[in-house]
Amino acid sequence: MTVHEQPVALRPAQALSRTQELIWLGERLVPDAPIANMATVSRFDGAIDPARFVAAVDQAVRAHEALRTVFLDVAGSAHVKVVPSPPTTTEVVEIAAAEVDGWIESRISKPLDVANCSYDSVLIDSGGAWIWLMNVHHLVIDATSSAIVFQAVAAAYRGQTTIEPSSFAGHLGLLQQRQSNPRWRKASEHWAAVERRSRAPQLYSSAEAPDADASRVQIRLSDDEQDRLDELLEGELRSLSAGLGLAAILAAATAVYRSRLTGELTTVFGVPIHNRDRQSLTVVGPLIELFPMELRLAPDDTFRAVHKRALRALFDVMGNAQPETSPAQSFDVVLNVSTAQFGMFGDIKTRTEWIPSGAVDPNHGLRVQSYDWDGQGELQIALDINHSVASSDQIALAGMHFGSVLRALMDDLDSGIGEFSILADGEAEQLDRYNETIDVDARETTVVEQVRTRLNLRRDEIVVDDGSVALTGGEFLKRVDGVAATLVEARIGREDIVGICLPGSLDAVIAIHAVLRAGAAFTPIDPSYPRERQRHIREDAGLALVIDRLPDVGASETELVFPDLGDVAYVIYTSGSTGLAKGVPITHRGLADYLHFAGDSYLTADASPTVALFSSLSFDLTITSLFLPMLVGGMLRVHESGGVPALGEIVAERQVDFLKATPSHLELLLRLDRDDDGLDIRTLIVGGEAFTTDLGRRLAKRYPIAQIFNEYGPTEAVVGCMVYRFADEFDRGPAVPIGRPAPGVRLFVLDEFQQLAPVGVAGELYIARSSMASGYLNRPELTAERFVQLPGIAEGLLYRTGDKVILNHGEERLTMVYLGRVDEQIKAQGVRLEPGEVEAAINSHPAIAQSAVRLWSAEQASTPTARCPSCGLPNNVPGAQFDGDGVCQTCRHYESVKEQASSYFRTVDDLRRELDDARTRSTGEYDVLHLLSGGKDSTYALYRLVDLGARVRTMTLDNGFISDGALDNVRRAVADLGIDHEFVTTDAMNEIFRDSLERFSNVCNGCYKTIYTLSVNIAHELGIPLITTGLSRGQLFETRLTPGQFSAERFDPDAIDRAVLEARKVYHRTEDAVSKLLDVSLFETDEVFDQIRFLDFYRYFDVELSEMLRFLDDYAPWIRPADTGRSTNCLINAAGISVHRMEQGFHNYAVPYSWDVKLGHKTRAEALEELDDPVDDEAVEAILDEIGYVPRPAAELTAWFVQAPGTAPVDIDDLRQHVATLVPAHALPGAFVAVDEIALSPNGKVATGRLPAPTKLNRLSGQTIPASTPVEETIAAIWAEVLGLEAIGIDNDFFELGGNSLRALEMIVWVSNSYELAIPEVVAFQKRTIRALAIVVERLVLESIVALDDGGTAAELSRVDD
Amino acid sequence: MSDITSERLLAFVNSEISTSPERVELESDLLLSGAVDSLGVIRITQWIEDELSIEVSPLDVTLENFQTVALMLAYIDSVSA
Repeated sequence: MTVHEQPVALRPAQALSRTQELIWLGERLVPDAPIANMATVSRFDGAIDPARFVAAVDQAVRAHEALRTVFLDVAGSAHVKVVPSPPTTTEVVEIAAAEVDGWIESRISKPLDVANCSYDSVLIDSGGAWIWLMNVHHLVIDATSSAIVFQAVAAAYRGQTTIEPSSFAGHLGLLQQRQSNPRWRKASEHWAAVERRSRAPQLYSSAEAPDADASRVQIRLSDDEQDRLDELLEGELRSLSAGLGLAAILAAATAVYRSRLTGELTTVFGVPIHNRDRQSLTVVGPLIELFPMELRLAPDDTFRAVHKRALRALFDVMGNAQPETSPAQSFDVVLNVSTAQFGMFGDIKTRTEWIPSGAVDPNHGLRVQSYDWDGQGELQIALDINHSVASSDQIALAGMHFGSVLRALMDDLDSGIGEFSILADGEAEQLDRYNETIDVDARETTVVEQVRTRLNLRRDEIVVDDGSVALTGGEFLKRVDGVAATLVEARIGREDIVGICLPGSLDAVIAIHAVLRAGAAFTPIDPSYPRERQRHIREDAGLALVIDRLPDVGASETELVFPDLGDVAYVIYTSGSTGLAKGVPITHRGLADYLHFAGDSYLTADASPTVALFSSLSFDLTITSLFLPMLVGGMLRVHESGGVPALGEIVAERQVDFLKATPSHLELLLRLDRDDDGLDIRTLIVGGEAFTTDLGRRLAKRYPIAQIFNEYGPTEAVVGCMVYRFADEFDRGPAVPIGRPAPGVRLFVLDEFQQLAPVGVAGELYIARSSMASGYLNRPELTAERFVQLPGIAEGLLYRTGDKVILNHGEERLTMVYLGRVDEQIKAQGVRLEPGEVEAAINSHPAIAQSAVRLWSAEQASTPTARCPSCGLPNNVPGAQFDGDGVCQTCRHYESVKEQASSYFRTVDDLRRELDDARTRSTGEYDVLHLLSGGKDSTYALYRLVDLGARVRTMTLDNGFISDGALDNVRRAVADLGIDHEFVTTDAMNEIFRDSLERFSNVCNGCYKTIYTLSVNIAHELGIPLITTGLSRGQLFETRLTPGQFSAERFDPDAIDRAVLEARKVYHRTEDAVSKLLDVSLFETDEVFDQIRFLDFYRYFDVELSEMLRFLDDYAPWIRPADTGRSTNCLINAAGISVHRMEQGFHNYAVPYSWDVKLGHKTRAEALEELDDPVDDEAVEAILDEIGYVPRPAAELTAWFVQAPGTAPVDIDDLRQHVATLVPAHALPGAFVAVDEIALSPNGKVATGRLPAPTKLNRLSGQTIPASTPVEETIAAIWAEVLGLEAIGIDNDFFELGGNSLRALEMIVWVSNSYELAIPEVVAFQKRTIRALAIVVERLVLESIVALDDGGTAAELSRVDD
Repeated sequence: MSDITSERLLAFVNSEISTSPERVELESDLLLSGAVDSLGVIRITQWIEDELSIEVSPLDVTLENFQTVALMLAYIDSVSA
């Protein structure tokens, strides 16, 4: 189980070719799918003599060694064997004509058993018509070989007695000699340098997981189209051969097709190259190899330009392809233009087809195929589409979309690749139907008049209530009129904009209605906004007045006029990409349209809802609650407190039955509303953020009578323009759909080229609504960018939302689903923000020259840029510090304490004493339970323990992923020594791995804990008092010791032992998967920790690596793994490493390996090589799938900044304060990182991948309170040293700053030494801030003085653990 | 066109490209006879680019220019001129 051991490589008896290896591995991934079946069906136009035919096939099989080759699976590796005679013979069957196709389909749907026979040959007699099915495993054949076999059978059938034999193994042997050929070497180098590409996004929305299922769709061309294609192939696009010409056309069409569906402009194809020359022309075997071909598009390309580039790319591939040089990579797109021809069967005319087995290599999302096997001169084009990129019902459509591209190309080579519609027949009509809504009544009156009419009917009913003041309709109108009159007297009227700088209070409601009543527009200004933002809004909107308290109103006779429908009703400011919030003006017509839609959708005509007002007025979501109750018989309940306190009031009062809120607020509501009966909510409108089905279900359960609506709408298109009614029984996707358009709204999903995307294909949402905003205030450029005219799509203005959406088939009709933002706009804490706005705020600080704001995830940081020249510690390990020579702090420390460190280690005599003690404490047959992993360290330790006379029992955890070699070593060692051994295992292993990945981003922690837990249980059961581990000295340094402990003046190994014991108690009592799934009852009391002790063998026993290996060679049946230098005997390790890199940004073995180097157990070069080992992504994916874990790269809003030249160093807290006054709280970056420059990518964008990782210190909260007392200052200095941080606040949690139990122990030793106290280690776990720890220290110091005064000698320790 | 180029090209085509049992001569038809397929032709263009430092445009790789070794040599001449 240690990470320091070598893996055992399982070598095949005979090497496979590159193609065979890929096929072999592909089949291991999907063992039950027939992905490697290559089946051909030949229909003979004449009679066949069955006996002669069967003999002819056998003769061909005898001639071609490949067909007699079988492959044995030995622990996952292929062992190749050739059998002397045909392993099977041709079956002759009679099948009715109507059943032939189905029979064949079923016959080839199972994988061939290559361990016994690599082919299946059947001669079918179908009522006198003869058909030959030849299904051959791809491990032994390719298309050309199929034709060779076909012709060999034909020759034998005709009576030819000698068939020219071939041997694929012999062919591979000849290729070996080729390796000195300079062209082969050049090709090898060429392909070795080709970058590995990752999997491309899926083409269509698909519910199906990646597996082997695929369907074929034929691209059918009309006769005219076929003629046009031939004309091009013989004319303008003529190439060396029709096949090559067609390959270039198909490559161009495929790249355009993919770009239209995914927006990806680069396609990497796998191109099969037949690899045959004179020597191998007639060899049967899988000579074909896939080589990568990249084709890039530019958005303004013409088809002609793409075709030319495709031809060039094909030439590059073919020119560089040499046998056995293809890079080992997987492809999601394969382009296969087959040149193999079968021809006639002797003098019998034959039609031969290749029959798809219904499965393809799951990596191949899309295979574009063209072939002309019967040599009739007609090229067939087909797509094989994996169900992971298009669901089965989208496959036929995919064929039509591909056909659209091909037709556009053939129509006009000089047209642009984005100038045509890709839609299939009928799809445009389908999209039109989605946009058919009932006609909107022309709104004749403004909301101001409607409110007045309605409230005049309700003069004595309460219409608004803030908890202390309740107003009737009459009172409300009177107050509104009074304020309106005052405004008019102050010369406020139509075309004026009035700021409302008030919290969501009754006064604010009156003020808003009054501003409108006066004919003016209102702009909400949240009083909690930073002053700078408030100032910007006042200036940008040119506010005539800002109301921050309701004016006193006297009696007035001023006459009021109503605004027009075309007048602006409100201006709401939203985040802007150019750095400043932008104003969106909405007219009365827009407001009236929206409220009419909302009333119709959410309420019945006679409804009298009680509506809560609690969200910010500056959020357009609030518009609904602000007006809707006044337009129906409703009541507005104003919760001035807003936010969480308001939700608390709502729950306490149980009055509200209509609520519009964001998902975040609804989560809080569910937490607050804990009575047996939930609130009687009838209408719940969710908006502002992505709404998950999970939340929808919980809401539906809690509020069973509520109708739950998901309302979508950007401010620009007026509050809500699309809605979906949540249906618990139907909605199964992760996100609740956003639904269908509101009346008068038309919604368009467009691709990157602003063409309509097909149903089931993601694109950007464009909105057409006659009453929406027509632009931003004072922003002509931004307006032109977001409000566009696209005559091909719709008349009038379209608002470009920047939202990525998809139309799917819902229960009955098309329904839209929100997928995220298309541009760089970031959602931080669920609120949309533009990095530009935050960057502008940072740049306005006088000491800042430049900045970049991004969501940073650990995934970006996984490549170190420097390493310690001494131990190899990479600089991407958080907290790693390096001196001027680049040497890490740990190395520096270690150099100075090497001597002292040796006092931690013990002697063999000490070990004897421990074993003797164990003998006396043992209550059973054994003294020691030894944890044996099968690696060199634990095996060597076992032999030594036995030599020392200990009665040893061994235990090995089989976690399901241990390599066979390691297991064999375990078996051999215990047999050799004749000792009792047990493989333990648990069903819970996968859940423990998952939990360990969730907590630590690695698998080892979970595994170790399982070992420790199970071993203590076994030791307890068998009365064994001592458990021995084979942790190497490097591991002991990493897990038991830290250099800081030695720096303290009084290094005390016993203190370390005590701390380790304390840490063990905490460790075993922590709630996690192990504590839940395994029996941990033993650990409930302290007793077991005394009864059963752990002993690290190598603390007592020092041995050089070479000596250890020599001993194992001479005395033990231990086999050194063949693949030296690799780090583990546990196959799941790769998954742990990959997840750790992705989630934490660095390699989890970086620190332990640096210790191995320091201690001389590994060279620096060996360690670095291992750390740089590429991880097999597919194997990792398979393992993670198996244990059911999805990696989660953490993301945090982070700012990088460059200081202005000649300014004093920026104080980060000062900068943070500055930014906080300019941006809303959700847009305040969590970390600020100073950099020398902000690197840009070639196209001028910030190179996000090259921004350095933020450290824990960069993340410290803005409220860092510095140490102020002498004790706090001392502790802060020690923490800074231990954690490698500066300027730690006294309320920061030690463990949140990156501390762990070992660092905690180190820290406590330092603090203890500073005050000559012996502070119990456990205090570090209880007093986790500097402030709390300082209080304990002060008390202890005081007590020790008192004790001295009393004549005592030392502080009493046991009293401080409260 | 030097005789050396012509001999080297013929030697290369015969030893590494042609699949025909008969020796390829200057005027042998390569493509229609099946002695060389398109992959072979492209390997020849690669050879020309590498050995003669001439860039071959994909659009020039046609039957007219590559049907025989003699035509290839003429093409090489025209491009290097």
